[in-house]
Amino acid sequence: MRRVAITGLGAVSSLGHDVQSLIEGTREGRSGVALTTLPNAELLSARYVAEVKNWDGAATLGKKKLNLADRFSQFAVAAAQQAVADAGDISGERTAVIVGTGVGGATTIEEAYDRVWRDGQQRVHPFSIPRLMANGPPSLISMEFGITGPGFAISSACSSSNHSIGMAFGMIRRGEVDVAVAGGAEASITFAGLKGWEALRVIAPDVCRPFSRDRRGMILGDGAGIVLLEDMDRARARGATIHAELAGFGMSSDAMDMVQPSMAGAARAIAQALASAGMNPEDIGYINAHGTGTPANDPTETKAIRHVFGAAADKLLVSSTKAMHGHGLGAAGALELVATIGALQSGIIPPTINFTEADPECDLDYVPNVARERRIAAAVSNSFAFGGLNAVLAIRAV
Amino acid sequence: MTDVADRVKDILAEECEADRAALSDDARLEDVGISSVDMVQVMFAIEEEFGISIGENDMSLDIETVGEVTAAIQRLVAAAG
Repeated sequence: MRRVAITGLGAVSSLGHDVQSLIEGTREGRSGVALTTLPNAELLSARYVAEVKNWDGAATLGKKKLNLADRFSQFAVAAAQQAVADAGDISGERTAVIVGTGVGGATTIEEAYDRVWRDGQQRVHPFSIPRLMANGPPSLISMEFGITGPGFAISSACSSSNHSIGMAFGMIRRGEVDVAVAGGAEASITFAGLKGWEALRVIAPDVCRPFSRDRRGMILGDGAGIVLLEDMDRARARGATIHAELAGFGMSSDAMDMVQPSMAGAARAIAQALASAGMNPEDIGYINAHGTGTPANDPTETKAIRHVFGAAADKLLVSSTKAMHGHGLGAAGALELVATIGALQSGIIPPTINFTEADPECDLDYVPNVARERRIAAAVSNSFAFGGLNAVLAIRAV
Repeated sequence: MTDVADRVKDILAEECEADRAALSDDARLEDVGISSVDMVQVMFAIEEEFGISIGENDMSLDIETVGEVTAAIQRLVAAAG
């Protein structure tokens, strides 16, 4: 089987509109969380969010293409532009484009409903349909770069990015394509969307405190992360800069509950990622946790890590960068993979910020509040979705 | 009515990123880079601007020149009174 190199990175997040702001921001413990800029915020209890700020979609797409792109697609195209420029080379028909989203064009749907039901208008924007499609990102990216190989969107809520990157990984490994543009995008911070999260009672009232005893839930984020994956031999032959090797991918379904996480399901996905990479637990130095900061996720994830890593769990560094860039849902895995690659390259592990007090049920080293210097050879990035769909990536330094 | 024509041309230029100076009445939409998909966006903007509704028979998507667009809109605006 072929090996897979990561040769391009792209990111748009609440920490900034590029990869550097995400990697440096998470390393420095900077928070992208702020009061939402949505109107009527005072009617929301879930009013703190990690939104992409000062976004100018026209600068990325031009006015004509902007008409056809919902906010989540705009983020995706911008991140893909960065990743392709970083890699410096793609190959039209031997390239795949696979981009996930949890929700799709939420802004477009809500604007259309506002016009029809609230404002009594008789018409909605003529491109509402192409804008709201979940496959907006792969379609627009394929056109942007003349990618004529396989293209599609994957939807598995918070695991959408990792499933997309994992699918692309498998296709390159098996020789079906040589290059892939893969990742995820989300922009579902709308008024009705926040009301939905509010009703589910999983949103923190102020800040997200993953693994901390007084954690009160997650903070929603938006953005996009895109990586350029490439057959390792091809990358080496053209002298590309290889950020890391994407070494393994594991996935599983809990078959249990729509919102409650399962220790067994999470553990199976992590174990499969290690097996797929041909790595042992002691090879892993860092886990970028799913770490949502909800009462249920964090102890369950901790138990899953202990289950797979055994004694090696006590040597691991585990952190959740979601406290800084928010929970990007369909974008989460890709943003976190970029942050994890940053940690692998620099030997500086991003912290879990807002950590106040240890929880007896969460008993790993979560790198509380301050980044840690540690050279690591390999790392894992977890995504466990609502609906019980889990996807885990493993990377190795090259 | 020339006012309506000018405003329609402004919208064509704005929505299609077309050169406003090139939008003479006999200019073919295709030649100034305006596609039928662009015209979907243009008709939406025109409906919003003039408070009119462009029906199936008012202006076809295979309309060819700038002048045909402005004439159709002038008729609709006049009819709406």
